Amino acid sequence: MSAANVSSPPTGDVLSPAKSSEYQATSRTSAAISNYLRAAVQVGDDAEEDYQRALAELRRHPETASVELAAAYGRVHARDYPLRWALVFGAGELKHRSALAFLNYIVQTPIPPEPKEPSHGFSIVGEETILRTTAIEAIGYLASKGNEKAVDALLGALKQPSISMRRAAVQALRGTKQFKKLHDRVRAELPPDQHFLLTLSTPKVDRVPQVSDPRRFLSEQARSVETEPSPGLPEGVPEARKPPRRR
Amino acid sequence: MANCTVPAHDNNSSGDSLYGPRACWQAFIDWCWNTHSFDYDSWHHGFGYDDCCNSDLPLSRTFAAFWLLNYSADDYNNDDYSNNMLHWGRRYVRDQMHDVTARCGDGTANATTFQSVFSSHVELYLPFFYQRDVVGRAATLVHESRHFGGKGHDANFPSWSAFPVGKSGADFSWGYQGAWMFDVLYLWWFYAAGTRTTSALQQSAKQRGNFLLDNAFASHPGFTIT
Repeated sequence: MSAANVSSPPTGDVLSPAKSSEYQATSRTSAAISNYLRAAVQVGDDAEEDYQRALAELRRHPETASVELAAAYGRVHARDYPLRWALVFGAGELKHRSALAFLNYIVQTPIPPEPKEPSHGFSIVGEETILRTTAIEAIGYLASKGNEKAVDALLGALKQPSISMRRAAVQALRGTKQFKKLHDRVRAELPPDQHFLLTLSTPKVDRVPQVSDPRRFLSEQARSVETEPSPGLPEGVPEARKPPRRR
Repeated sequence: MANCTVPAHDNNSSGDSLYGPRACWQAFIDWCWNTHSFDYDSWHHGFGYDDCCNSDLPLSRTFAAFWLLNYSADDYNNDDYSNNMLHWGRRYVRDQMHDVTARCGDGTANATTFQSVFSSHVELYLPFFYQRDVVGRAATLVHESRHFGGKGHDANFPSWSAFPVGKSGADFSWGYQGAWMFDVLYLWWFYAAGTRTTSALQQSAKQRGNFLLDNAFASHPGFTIT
């Protein structure tokens, strides 16, 4: 199917192209960050090895990497949440005190308000919150290794208005040696209707209530049709060019 | 008819540089397009029908999400409903979701399922294509399929929620077994047992699952993913 075959006036919406914002390496450490981002999404026999190699390269100069990750984060388009998340996650993967300032900056940056009220599922506040809980977990690792500044950062995160940030901070503090001593202080920081965050359980996924007999939740129409499973995975590199024509 | 522009995006961090080429496979594309009866007209005019392996365009990014949904269990063919959700999630979506339509949207929703006595369809919007990574998109497909299954949201968002407080759109509880529970449970299983993926995407699934546990239920389920 070529564009020439569908030259009739559009009946649906029209999407115009724009250039990808893929992060461009601008210095040696930036190249290391680019390599890391690429390696983080590889799979296959050598993927873990490649990922560890890229991570090791970043970790060789953690101070510089932290600065570069922070600088890259500042350059990314605000709505490019997957890339912003990857940079925060990367800073956490350094597992080094030099990342603390960047991670804490993310935590302490106020969450911007929704430009429009979310109607179904997509929330700017939600995406921004996920960036911050990822940073809090990374700070939690440093705190669990005895970094006092990281513990202070987690206590600071409890003051944030987001329940998810508080939940992540409580969970991270639970992993520190000081938690017993800090318990009352943590409780005092939480609004009374969120004290339950201190008693959340942490089950494995197979220990929470599952969907019993999902077939019950199929529509009548769906129950009456037997659908074909997706094709088995091919060996080698498959080729594809176009979807079928009209159904 | 609306006009919109491809927003800034990075295919590495969203997982599209990994999943896009995997989904670029004619047998899978034919199956996916026909099984879910993609709306032919809506996927033209920039949405990718003419270039369905181009990871910068919505159609490839949607196929990528369906690929993840279909092949992330180690023994993906074992999709019996008696198995766990990593296995049957794909079957549920396959049985339920049809008339998959691409739209610009107004930026406030990933997707919306429309149902009437005569017809139903799901619309996917720009935030779905570009502001969610591949696993986030797959979980959205699961979520919307639950709506196809006839279950709407039954509660208002609680006082602590990041979603509009007091407005409808929450599920009352985990036990309601609504779209948010399906969404979280899929993310959780993917985090815990997903294969053919990366640890970064699994961590992303965990973060998103925890956010929904905290914010999308009127009564907090009482657990968190670690």
